Amino acid sequence: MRWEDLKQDIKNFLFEFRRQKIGIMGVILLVILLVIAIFAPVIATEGAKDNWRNMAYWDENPADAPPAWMNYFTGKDMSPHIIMDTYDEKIEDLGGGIKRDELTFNYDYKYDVPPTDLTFKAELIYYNAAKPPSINMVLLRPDGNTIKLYSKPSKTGKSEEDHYVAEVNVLVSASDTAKKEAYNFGREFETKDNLKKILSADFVDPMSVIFSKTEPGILLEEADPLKGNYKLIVDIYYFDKRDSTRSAKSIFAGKVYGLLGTDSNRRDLFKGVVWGTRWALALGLLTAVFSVGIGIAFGITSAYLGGWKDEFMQRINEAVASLPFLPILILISAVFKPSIWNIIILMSLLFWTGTAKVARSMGLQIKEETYIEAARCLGAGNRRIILRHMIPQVMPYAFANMALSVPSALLTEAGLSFLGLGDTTVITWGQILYGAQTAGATLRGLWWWVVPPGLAIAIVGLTFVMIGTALDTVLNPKMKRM
Amino acid sequence: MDPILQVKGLKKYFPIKLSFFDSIRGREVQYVKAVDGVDFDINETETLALVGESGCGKTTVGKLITRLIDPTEGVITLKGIDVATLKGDDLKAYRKEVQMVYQDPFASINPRFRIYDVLEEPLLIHGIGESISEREELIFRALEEVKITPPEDYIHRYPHMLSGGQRQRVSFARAMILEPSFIVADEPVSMLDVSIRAEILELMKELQQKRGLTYLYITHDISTSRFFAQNIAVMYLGKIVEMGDVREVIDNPLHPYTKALLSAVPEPIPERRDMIKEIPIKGEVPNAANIPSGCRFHPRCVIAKDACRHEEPELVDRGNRHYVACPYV
Amino acid sequence: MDEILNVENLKAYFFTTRGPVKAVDDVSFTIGRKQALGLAGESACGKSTLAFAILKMLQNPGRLVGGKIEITGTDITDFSESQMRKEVRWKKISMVFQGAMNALNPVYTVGYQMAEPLMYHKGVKKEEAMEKSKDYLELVGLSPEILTRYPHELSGGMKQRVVIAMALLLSPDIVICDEPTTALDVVVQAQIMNLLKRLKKELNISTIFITHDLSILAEVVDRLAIMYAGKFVEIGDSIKVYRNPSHPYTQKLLGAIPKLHEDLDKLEYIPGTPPNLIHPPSGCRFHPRCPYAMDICKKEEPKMKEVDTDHFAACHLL
Repeated sequence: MRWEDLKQDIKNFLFEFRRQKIGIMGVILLVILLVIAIFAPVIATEGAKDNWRNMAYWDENPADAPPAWMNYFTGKDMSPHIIMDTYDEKIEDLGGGIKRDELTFNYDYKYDVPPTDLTFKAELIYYNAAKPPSINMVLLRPDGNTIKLYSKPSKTGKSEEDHYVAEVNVLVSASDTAKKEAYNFGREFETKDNLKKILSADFVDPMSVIFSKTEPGILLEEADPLKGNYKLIVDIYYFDKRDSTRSAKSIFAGKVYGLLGTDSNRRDLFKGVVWGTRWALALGLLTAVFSVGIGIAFGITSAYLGGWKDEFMQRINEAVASLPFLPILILISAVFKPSIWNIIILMSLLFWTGTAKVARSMGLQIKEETYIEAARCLGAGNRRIILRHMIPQVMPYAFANMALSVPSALLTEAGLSFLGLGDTTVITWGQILYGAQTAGATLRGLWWWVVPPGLAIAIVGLTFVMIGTALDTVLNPKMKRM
Repeated sequence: MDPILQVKGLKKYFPIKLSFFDSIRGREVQYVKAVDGVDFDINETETLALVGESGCGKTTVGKLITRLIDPTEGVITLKGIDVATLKGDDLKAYRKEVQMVYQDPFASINPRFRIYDVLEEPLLIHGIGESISEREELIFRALEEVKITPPEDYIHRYPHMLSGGQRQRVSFARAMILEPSFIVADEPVSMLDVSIRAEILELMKELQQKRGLTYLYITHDISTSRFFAQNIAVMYLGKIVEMGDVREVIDNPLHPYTKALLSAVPEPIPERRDMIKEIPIKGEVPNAANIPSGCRFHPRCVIAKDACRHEEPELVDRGNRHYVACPYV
Repeated sequence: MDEILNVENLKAYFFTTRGPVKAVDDVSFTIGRKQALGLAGESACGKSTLAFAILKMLQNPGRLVGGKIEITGTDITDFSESQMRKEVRWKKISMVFQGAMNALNPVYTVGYQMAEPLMYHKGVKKEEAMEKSKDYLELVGLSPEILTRYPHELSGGMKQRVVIAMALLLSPDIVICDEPTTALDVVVQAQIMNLLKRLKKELNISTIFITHDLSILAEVVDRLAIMYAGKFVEIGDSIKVYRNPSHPYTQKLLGAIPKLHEDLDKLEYIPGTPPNLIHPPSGCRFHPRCPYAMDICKKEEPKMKEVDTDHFAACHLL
């Protein structure tokens, strides 16, 4: 086909396609999916993909947290998960080689349910092995009160070249100081009756005390929340001029997390679903195009050649169709690692048989059309008849079939992943669902682990079905409204 | 005038596929004798109307002449070329010489092709026209010749956007663009409205005069053959039963089958309405796989004699090139 | 003469996305008992739509948008679908659909297919229904053994006879035959026409014949209506219309029929194509193809005028 023609054809096609509302919706969905897939590194960070199966990477997240927007549906606002790595730093030389590094984190608390925990993390670099730095942690409440949370020298650090690195990981919920201080703080405002109910400081949740108003019930988690700006002040005392703080951050562990919550391994499911889009599209489209392409070419050729060649090709088709997919894949995964490419190739090589059967029966019908005979009468050869006359006739079917193959390829991959036969080096929705299944997500009511990847598979399926239907209407002139 | 096409002893038998069990039981393969010994000549720039009911083998004769199927037996000579043995490039060259136009203008054009593509295809197949503009000119000229004007309004349309008559004219343009000398027209007007039939027939006549075309006009409609053809051959179950000058045969039919056919032709004479017509024929057309012995028309013939069951009549010249295959008329 | 069917100002439009297709636009006619009306015109002129409109069986997006239909004095215009099914279709008016012989169900015997509507419509017992089917098969010239045959075992002519017998089964007042002989060979066509003529004589029914082939219509119809672009252009006694065609379209249609026993130098035809029924031509719808078109034809729609007793035509020339 010449370029001019092609341009005209595309123009005509677009003109017709624009009138297909369903198709336009499908295209919009596809564009959205493509944008998500292409900009996955921006939306969901490269690190999430690389560390999806590295559990340590995720341990700052809460486990099994529902999505943040759940707050809109519950009466009480639950505090979201916030990781703060920006802070005000004030370094003060106290003389005598002593140096104070003051880090201030500003936390705007405006929720009803306090964070489950407050963590401070940092790497402290010091040079004098005998003098590891010392840490003091204080919380300044909006009402001006302060609560001491932690006060201890750091643990001995790991030796690195000429200095030492001490990793600090303070969990307020696990800090005895915090518990005691919180109890002492709250006791002043409690009624006698209430105090009787509390046996010891160990039974007090410091997080709830910290974020409550100074009124009776503060120790019993019954007081109203105190909303406003809190300051977490961490003072680190160093005993050498060269000592310094590295990668400090505070984590207000939320009851809810992000757009789609987290799974039991604390992984951000939103990032997983976003990265899954890439493979979903690649896997679905590649498998659909390859398998349908093979099927159409095989079926049409078989129908056109006819006679014993047709018989022979049909027996091949049946032989391939009867190959059991799963056992073969298990076998392959025993020999090779079940890479996603192997899965795509294998699906393409096995999934064309149905298409080929239908394409053949369509081909047998098309072969009898008068215009095929007319083309032969004009002198057209086999190749021209197959390529120009027969294959274009089945293209609507091919497109519709491709559209339908996309979800089935996705489901097959999900099924394989479910059996542990998926490619564990990539993130697919199937893999996420597999994780949910093994963790018993449905039984535990962790719907945000199951629904989004499932819905994503359905949306991709729907997208292609809508596009397929519209293409069918446009590419098949007989179906056009007269 | 010399005959441009000569057909001698043409036969085409289609084997009936045996079922698996029949083939292992060693049953003999049966044949449908679609064409069973046909002879005729067509002179240059003349038209022969091949008339008969459906299933009589007239379309098969057309396909044999265009070499869409190979004959079982017999000789076809067109302009001195032995058609039956053509192969490869010779066959491709022959296709430029002989073209076919089909009955159904809805089915004979690929619905996905625009009119431009329809007409460009033969040019591309035969490598006619070096450049786009050259081909375009040929296409425009072909469309103008069949009165699809102005061509630029039509080349980008799909067949379903044209009326039946227009499509049939496009079919003619497609056939004519290769400048053939012989055209097999297989019921070219039978699917069209009566008001359009005349237009297509006039067009065919005009093309014949302008290009010196020869036609084999296959039809079941005897009244259009009188208008369009010089000669007529009436076919029954794979054989010609009567042949001759079209006026002679229609006005003075001899074979009982021709008589029956002619009596059945409806004529717009309202004064004769409600009159039950006498159609001198019995029963229905037998299966072509099981052709009656002797004269194949005898089970339906109103003047059949005993001898008709055994003796197959020859096509004999009864004077004035009026051939009849019945000794009893 | 009592009126069996009275159609007044009937309008049937197809509401497509590109606008309403005025397939039948203001058509009126009546049929008397035992009368046969011919409906002729080019394809897509609305003649089949008219038949479907009378049966109220228009396919979506078709709608009856105006007019009145009376069958044996009953106004059925506002009948519901279930009323039509129970009281009108097949009992009062039946139809031989175009290509119906190819629509016979291949998996049922002819007998079953014939008896089923009897059992369904009249609650007749199976044996009785079969007996009646047998009678009607004999009426259309088929042997009763056909009852146990399957459609593929029958020839085209036999199937067409079966379809005609089915249309007659509930003894309707009117039968509409839509292209009853197209796709049949000449001999079979003539035999079917003979059958229809015989039935017309023997039975107490009125008929509407729809075809584009005026030579077939001449053999059987008493009155002839010529339809063009959704409207009647001429209607009247068939001999008068054939012998004295008054509308240029009728004249052209009749001129296009080739003569079997006459030599013609030229056949008449109507140049151009039938108009688009979404935007039909202004004034007389035939004017773009009419050789006698005048200025007034573009502006004003001609009214039906009486040319002769029982012969009307709509043309400004008259």
